[in-house]
Amino acid sequence: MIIVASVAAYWYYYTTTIAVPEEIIIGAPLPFSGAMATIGESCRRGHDLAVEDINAAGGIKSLGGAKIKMVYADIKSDPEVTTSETERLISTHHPVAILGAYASSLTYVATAVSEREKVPFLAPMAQADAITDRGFQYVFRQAIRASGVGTKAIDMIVEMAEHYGTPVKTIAIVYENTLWGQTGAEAARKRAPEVGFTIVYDEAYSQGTSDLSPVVINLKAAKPDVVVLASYLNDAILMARTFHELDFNAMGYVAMGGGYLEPDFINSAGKDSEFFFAGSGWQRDLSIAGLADVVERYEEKYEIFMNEHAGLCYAATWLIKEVLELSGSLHPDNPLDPDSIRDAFLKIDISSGPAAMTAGGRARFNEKGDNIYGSHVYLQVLNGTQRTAWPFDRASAEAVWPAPLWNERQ
Amino acid sequence: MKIKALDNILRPKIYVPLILAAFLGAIPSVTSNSYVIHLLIIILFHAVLSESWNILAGFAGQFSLGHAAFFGVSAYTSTLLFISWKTTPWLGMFIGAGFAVASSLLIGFLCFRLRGPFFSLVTIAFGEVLRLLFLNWGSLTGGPVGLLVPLMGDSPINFQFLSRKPYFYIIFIMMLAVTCVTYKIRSSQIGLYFIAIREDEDAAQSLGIDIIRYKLIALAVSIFFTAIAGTFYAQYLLFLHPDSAMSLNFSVEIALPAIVGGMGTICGPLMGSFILTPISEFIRALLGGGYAGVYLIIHGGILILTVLSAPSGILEKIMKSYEAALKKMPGG
Amino acid sequence: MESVVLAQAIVSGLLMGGLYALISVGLTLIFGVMRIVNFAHGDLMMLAMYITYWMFTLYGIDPYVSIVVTMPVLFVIGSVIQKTLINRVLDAPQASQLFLTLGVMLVTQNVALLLWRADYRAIRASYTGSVVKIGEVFVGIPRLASFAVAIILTGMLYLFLTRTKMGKAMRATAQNREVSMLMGINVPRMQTVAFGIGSACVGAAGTLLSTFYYISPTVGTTFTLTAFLAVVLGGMGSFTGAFFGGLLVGLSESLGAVYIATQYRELVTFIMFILILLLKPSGLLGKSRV
Repeated sequence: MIIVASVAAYWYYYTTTIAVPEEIIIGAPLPFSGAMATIGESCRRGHDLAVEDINAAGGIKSLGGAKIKMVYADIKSDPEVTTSETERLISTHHPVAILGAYASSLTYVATAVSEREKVPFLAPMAQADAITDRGFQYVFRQAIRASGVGTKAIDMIVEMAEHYGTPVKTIAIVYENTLWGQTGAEAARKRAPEVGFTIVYDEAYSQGTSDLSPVVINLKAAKPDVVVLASYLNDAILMARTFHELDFNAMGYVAMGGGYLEPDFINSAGKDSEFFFAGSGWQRDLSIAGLADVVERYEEKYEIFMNEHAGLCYAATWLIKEVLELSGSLHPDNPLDPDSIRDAFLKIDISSGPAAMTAGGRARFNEKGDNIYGSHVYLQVLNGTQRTAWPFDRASAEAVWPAPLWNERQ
Repeated sequence: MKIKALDNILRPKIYVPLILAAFLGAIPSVTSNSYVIHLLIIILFHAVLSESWNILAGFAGQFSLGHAAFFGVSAYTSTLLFISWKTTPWLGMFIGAGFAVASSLLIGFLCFRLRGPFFSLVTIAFGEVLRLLFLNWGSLTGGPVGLLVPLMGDSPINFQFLSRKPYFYIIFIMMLAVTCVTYKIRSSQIGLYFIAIREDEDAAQSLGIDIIRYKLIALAVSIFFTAIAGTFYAQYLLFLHPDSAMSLNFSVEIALPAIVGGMGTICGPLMGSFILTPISEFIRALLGGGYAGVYLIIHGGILILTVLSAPSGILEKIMKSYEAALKKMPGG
Repeated sequence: MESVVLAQAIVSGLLMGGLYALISVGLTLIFGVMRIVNFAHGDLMMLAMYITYWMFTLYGIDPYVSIVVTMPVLFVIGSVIQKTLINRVLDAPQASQLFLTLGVMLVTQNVALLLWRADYRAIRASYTGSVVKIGEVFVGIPRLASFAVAIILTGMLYLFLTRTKMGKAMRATAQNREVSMLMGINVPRMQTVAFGIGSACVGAAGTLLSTFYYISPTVGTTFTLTAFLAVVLGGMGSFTGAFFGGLLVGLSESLGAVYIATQYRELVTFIMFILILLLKPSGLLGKSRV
C-alpha cells in the first residue's frame, strides 16, 4: 500500500513538474536523395559538426546544459515527400525546432506543415521571398532573400565592368524553373534595366533536365555580354559543359549560388567550371574570427572542402542554440514553448561567435522572420578553388574579368 | 404491408455488407488514434478512386491511364477558386467536378474510337499533356512550386478540420456513394450495356447500342467521383503538385486496387484498397523516406501475381467461400 | 546566325533520333511478333544503363566496349521475362497483357530505386565533354559516336530480319501466327527470341545513351513513351516505320525545344502522339499491322 502510494506520488511529481529534457530534439528535413542529394549531405556535415561543438562546449546552459540532438529525414528533393516527411518528423519525434529544408521549393512546403503544427522553423539557406511573405509566425530565415540575391548579381556585374573597364550592355538570364530560380530571376530582371542593361535572353528551363543544348543554342544566338544563372548541382555541371561544348562565350558567368557552390561542381565539371562566379552567403576564406579554425576541423574530419551549405548550416545550428539559450533566460518557465522561442527569435541580435559566421556577420530578425543582416559575397572559381572575389574590400583573390574564351584556355 | 426493401434487408447478402459498413463507419467513435484514422482515410480514399475507375474500366472495359489528370483538374479548380474568390471548397468541389467531367467528355469523345492498348496509350498522352500544362502554367497553378491550400485552421465551412475524424466521415460517405452508384449501375440496363461494350464492342454495336454514348456516360460518372476525391485530397493534404497529383504513376495507383480486387465487381476495388494501401502506409512508416519506393515493388509484384493467377481479381477467389458463409447466416 | 541555330537544332535532333530509332525498332519487333504493348521497355534500357555505369565505375570498362556485354545480358533478361511472364498472357485479354507489363515496370523501376537510389548518375569519361566542329555546328563526340553505333546496329537488325532464315521466320510469325505454325516454324521460340532481340536493342541504346545522358531509375518511362510515339508514327509492327519514326521524333523534339520553349519539349512529343493516334493511328505511312 505504501509502496503503491509512494510510486504514485513519485510518478505524479515526475510528470507534473515542468521537466526540461536533457536532450533537445531538432528536426532536419533535408534532401539526401534525388537531384539535391549531395547538398543534403553538405548540410548534414555542417549540422553534425556544430552539434558536436555545441555539446562539447556544455550544451544549452540556460536549459541546464541540455544537449542538442539532430533528427534527420530524407525529403528526396521532392515537394510532396517533403510535406509527408516533415509531418512524420514532427508527429514522431516532437522536435523543439526545425532546421531545413535547403531548397526554396522544399522549404516553402515544409514551413506550411511546421506552421500548422506550431513548430519554429529556421531556414538557413532558402532564399525565395515567398517563404517569409505569408504572414507566418514561426518561420525564420538566416539567409538573404532571393530578391536581394538577384539584385546583388546585377550590382556585382556593374562594379566588375567598371573596375576592369569593360562596358556591359546586354545580359541574359537563364534559370531553373522552381521557386528559387524564379524569384532570383525576377529580381535580376527588375534590377537590370535600372542600371541600364538590356536583357537579350530570358529563359527558364526544367530543373533536372538532361539536355541544355536548346537553351545554349539560343543563348549563343542572343550574344549577351554577361549571363546570369540559377541552377542546382546537376544542371550547373551540365550548363558549364554545354557552354564549352557549344562554344558559348561571355564576359562573365554569374551564378546566383545554388549548385555552382558545391565542391562537386568543380570536381565534375573540371576545367569547365573555371571562372564561374557564384553568390554565397558564406565562404571559407572570409576573415571572421574563429572561422578558419572551424573550416580546418571540418575539412580534416570530412576530407572534403567546406562550402556554403555546410557553413550556413553550421552557423544556423549555433544560431538556434543561441535562440534557445535566450528563450531559456527570458522564459524560464516554458522555454521550449513555441511562443517563447518565437519571442527569443525576435529579440536576438548576435554579431560574434559561430552563430554569426555568415557573409552578413550578424543575425537579427524582423517581424516577418527575415534576418535583416542576411548578405552575399561572390566567389569565383580560380585554379580549381573558390575564392571570394567581391565585394572588393572582402576579396581574398583578384577576380578574372572578362573570362577568357574557351578556345584560349588550356 | 411488405416493403421490398425491408424484405431484402433480411437477406444476408444485403445485411452483411451493411453491418460491415456500419462497423467501418463506427471506428472513429471508438478510437481516437490519429494514425488508425489516417490509415482508414487513405484506404477509403484509394477505394473511392479505384471504384470510380472501375466504373469505366471494369464495367465498360475502357482502361484509362489518365484518370489522375482529371483528379488534378478538379483539385486545382476548387483550390484556385478558394484562393482567388474565397469560394468554399464544398461548392468548389462540384464546380471542379463539373469542369473535370466536361473536359473528360471532350477528350473521351475524341478518343473512344480507339480500342484496346491504343486507347490506354492516348489516355496516357492526354494525362501527361494536362500534367505538363499544369506544371508549366506557373502563373495560374504555381507550376513546379506546387500549390498550398491556405491554412484556415478548424473551419468546417471551408472544408478544413484540425481533427481527422470529420475527414473520415466525408470520405466514408463518398465511398458509400460510389458503391451505391456502382450497385445501381450493375443492376440496371445501363450496366448491361456497359458490359456488352466491354465484352464485344462490335457485337454490341450491331445490336444497336450507341457505343460512344454509353462510354461517355461511364466516363462522366467515373470522372465525377474521381474529381470530388480530388478536392478531398486537396483539403486533406493541403498541398498540390502536378508531379504527384497528376502523374502517370498516380493513374496506375488508381487502377491497381480494382485490378487486384476484381474489376467489374462492386467490392473488388474496396477490397483491393484494403489489401494494397496498408502495405504502402506501413512500409512508409517503417522504412521512412529513403525506402518509400519499396511498397511499389510489392504492389507491382501483387499485380503480376494477380494477372497470372487470378486475372479476375482476388475477390473472385474468395467469393465462393464468402457465399458459402452467407448461406449459413440467418435469413440466407 | 539563324541558319546556324537551325542547323544545330537539326543535327542535335537527328543524333538523338538515331537512338530513339534503335529503341523503337526493338519495340515494334516485339509488338509485331506478339502484339504486346510493352510498358516496361524503357526500364530494360534503364537496367542496361546501370550495368554500363557500374562496369565503368567499378572496372573502368568503357561503355563502347561494355556494349558487347550489355546486349547479350539484356537479351537473356528479355528472353526470361518473355518465357516466364509474357508467354502466359499471350492469349489472355489485352487488359491482362497491359497490366502485366505495367507490373513489370513498377517492380523494375522501384527495385532499381531501392538498390541505387534516386540520385542522378553520370559517366564521366575522357571524351565526355569533347566536341567536334562540323561547319558552324558543334557536335558532342559521345552523341556522334552513339548515333553511329545505333545506326549500325539497326542496320544489322534489318539484315537479320531480311536475309537470315530466322529473321524471315520471325517476320512470318509476325504476319500470321497460325500459318507460321503450320509451316513448321517454332512460334514460341520466335516469340522468345523476338523479345530478347527487342530487349537487346533497347539495352544497346541504354549503353550508348549513358555516355551523355543522366542515369536514374525513372529514366526509362520517358523513353518508353517516346518509343511508342515513334512506333505509332511509323506504323506499329513496321521496321522502317519505327526507324524513321524515331528520327522524326528526335528532330521534332529538338526543333520544338529550340523554337518553342525548352520547358515545353515533352509537351510537343505528347501532342504529336495524340494527333497521330486520333488522326492516323495506322501511322504516317499507313503500314500498320494491327
